Amino acid sequence: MADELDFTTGDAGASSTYPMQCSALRKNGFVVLKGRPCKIVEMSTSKTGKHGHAKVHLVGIDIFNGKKYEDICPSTHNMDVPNIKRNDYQLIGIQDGYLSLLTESGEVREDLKLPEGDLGKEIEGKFNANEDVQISVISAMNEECAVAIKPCK
Amino acid sequence: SAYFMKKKKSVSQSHISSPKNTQHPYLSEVESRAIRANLTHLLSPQMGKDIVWFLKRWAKTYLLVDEKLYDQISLPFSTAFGADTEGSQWIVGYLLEKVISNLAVWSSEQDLANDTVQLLVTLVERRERANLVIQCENWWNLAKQFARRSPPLHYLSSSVQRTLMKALVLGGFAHMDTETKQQYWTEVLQPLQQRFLNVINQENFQQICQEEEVKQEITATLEALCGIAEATQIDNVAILFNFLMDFLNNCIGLMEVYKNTPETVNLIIEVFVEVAHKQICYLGEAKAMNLYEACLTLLQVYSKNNLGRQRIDVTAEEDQYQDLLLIMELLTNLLSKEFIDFSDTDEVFRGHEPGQATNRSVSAADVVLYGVNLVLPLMSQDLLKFPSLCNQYYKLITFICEIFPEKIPQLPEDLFKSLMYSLELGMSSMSSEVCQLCLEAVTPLAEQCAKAQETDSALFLATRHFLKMVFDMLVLQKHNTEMTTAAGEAFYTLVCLHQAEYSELVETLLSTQQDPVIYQRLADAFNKLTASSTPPTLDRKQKMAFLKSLEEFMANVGGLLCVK
Repeated sequence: MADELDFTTGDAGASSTYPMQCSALRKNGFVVLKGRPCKIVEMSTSKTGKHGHAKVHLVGIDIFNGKKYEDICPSTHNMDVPNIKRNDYQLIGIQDGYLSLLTESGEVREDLKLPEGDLGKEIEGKFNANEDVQISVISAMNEECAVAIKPCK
Repeated sequence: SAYFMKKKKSVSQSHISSPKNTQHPYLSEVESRAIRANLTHLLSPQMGKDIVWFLKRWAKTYLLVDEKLYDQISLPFSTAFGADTEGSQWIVGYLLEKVISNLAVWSSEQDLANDTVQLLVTLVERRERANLVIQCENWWNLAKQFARRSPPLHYLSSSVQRTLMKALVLGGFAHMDTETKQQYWTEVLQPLQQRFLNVINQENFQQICQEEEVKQEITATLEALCGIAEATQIDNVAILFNFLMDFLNNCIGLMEVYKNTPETVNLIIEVFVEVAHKQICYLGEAKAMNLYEACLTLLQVYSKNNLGRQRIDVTAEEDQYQDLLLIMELLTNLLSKEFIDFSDTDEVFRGHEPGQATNRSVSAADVVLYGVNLVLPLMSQDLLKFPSLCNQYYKLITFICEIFPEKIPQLPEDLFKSLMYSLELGMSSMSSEVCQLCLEAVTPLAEQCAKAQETDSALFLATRHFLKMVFDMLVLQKHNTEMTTAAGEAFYTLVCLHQAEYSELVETLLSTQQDPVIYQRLADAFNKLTASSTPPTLDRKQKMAFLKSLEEFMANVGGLLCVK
C-alpha cells in the first residue's frame, strides 16, 4: 500500500476485485469462488502431513443467487476479493416486474428486477399497502440485486 | 510468587537443557539461514511452530529473570541472561530478528504467525525485557513498517495484526528518555491517527467510503484500536484511554456511514467492547462517564439504523447474531465495573488532564438499560438457540437484576414483561448454567419487593409466580447440589415475601397425596423445614438456618415426588 493514500481517482476505473493472500481472509468476509462473488461461511485450514504447508478450505455462498461454492487452495495463494457496494434506494414503483427506485441524486432507475421468492412478495406487499420503504441493493463485479427491504426513516 | 520461590533447579536438572530441547536453538539458526537463502518453501511450518514454542517459553521463564521472586538463582543463569548482561541484550536482539523474519515469510501460516506475534508480546510485556527490545534498531524499523502498512506486514491476517499493534504499544512503555518516548509515539500512534483523520476528513468521504481501499484502511484502523485496548495495563491506561476516546467519538460517525456494511459495524462495536473490557475497571468517575456517554450514543445510532430492519440476504441470521452478541458483551463489560473497580477517583489520570465538569450525567445503568431495551425485542426464541448468544443474554439480564434491582420496577411495561418471561424461560427450558443464573437473579428482585412493600406491583406478582416455579423445581424435580443451593436461596426470599402463597402451595401438594405414608413424610418434612424460621424474615441467621433445614428436607423427600 502506498504511504500516502490518493483518493482523487474516484469511482471511474475502480477495479471490481483486489487480491488478498488466502490466509488473510476471514469468515464472514468475501471472496471470488469459481468466478462468483461469495460470502465466506466456512474457512478451515488443514495440512498434508505433519510438516506440510497450510491449505485453506473455503465454503462460500453466492451473494446474488445463494448457491454454495467451495475451493481449496494453498494459504500463500492470492485470492480475489470482490468490491462490494451497498446502497439504499427509495421504492417509488413496480412496473413489469422491475423496481422503480429513486437515487440520492434524484434520478430514477428502473433496471433492477423485482426479486423472486419471499423478498419479492414482501416488497410487493408493502408497496401495495402504500408503505414507504427503502430497498437495499448490493452490487459487486458488475452485477446488482435487491437484497433487503426496510422502512423509510 | 510462592510457586516461583520453591523452584531451585540447577542448570543440569532443568528440563529446558534436556537433550531434546538443546536442539531448538540450533534448529532456530538453521531455519533462519534457510530463510535467508530463499529456501522457505522447503521448511516445515510445524518445525517453525516448535521453535517459536520453545523460544517463547524459554524467554518467559529464563530471560531477564526478576531476581526478587527467587531465593536462589544459579550463577550461570544470571551471568548469561540476567539483568545488565551482554548475553541478555544479544538474545533479545536475536529473538526480535526471529520474530521479524517469521512475520515476513510465514504470514500464510496462521498458527505460526500468531505464535510468533505472541512471542513478541512476551518480549515486551515486562518492562525489564521491553527496555532491551527498544534498544534494537530492528524494533523501530518494525514499528515504522507497521505504521506505513507496507509489505510484508500487510499480508498478515487481521487478528495477527491486532496482536502486533498490541506488542508495539506495550513496547512504548519501556523506559526511554522523554525525547525518545515522544519520538516513539510519533512513529507508532500518531500515524494511525493521522491516516485515519486524512481518510474521514475527505470532503467526498461519504461517496468514496465504499471503495475497497478506503474500507481496508478503516478496517485496519479499527483492528489496531482493538490491539491498543488489549495493551492496557494499570500504568498506561491514562495515556491509552485519552488516545482511544478521540477515536471512539469518530467511530460513532462511522456507524452511520457504514450502516449497510455489517462487517464494519461489527468491528466498530468490537472496539467499544475491547475498550470497556480492558479499561473500565481503572477509570474514575469522570472518565467512566465519558465512556458511558460514548456507548450510549453508539447504541442510539445503532438503534436508529436497525429499527424495523429485516435482513433477507442469504446469511441474515448470522449477521443479526454477531452484532447483538457484541452489544450484549459491551453492556456486560460496562456492568463489570460494579464488581471490579480499581479506580481511585481519577487517581491514575492525575497530572494528565484537568478535571472537567460534564453537563450531562450518564450512569452505567442508563446505558445498560437503554441497550437492554434495544436488545430484548430482537432476541427471538430462534436466536436463543445459539449457545453463545443465549449465555451472554442471560449473563446480562441477571447482572442487571443483581446490580440495579431498584430499576426493574421502573422499566416500561413491555420491557418488564419480556424480562420476566426471559427469567421464566431460563428457569424452565434452558441449560442448568442459565437456570442457576436466573435463580440467582430472583433473590435481589424479591428483596427489592420486600423493601418497597408493595403488594400489587407487577414485580410482586411476578415473584409470586416465581415462588411456584421454584417450589415445583425443588419438590418435583431432581437437581444437583449446586442448583439446589441456588434454588434454596431464591426459595427462602420468596417464601418470606409470599408467606400465604407458600402455605397454600404446601397444602395443595399435601392434599393431592393419596398414599398416607407419603403424606405423613411430606407433612413432617415441611414442618421441620420452616420450624427454625417462623415467621420467616429476611434475616441472615434465619436464612442460614432455613438453608440447612432445606438440605435435610431434600435428603428426606427429594426425589420422592419426581415424575418419572
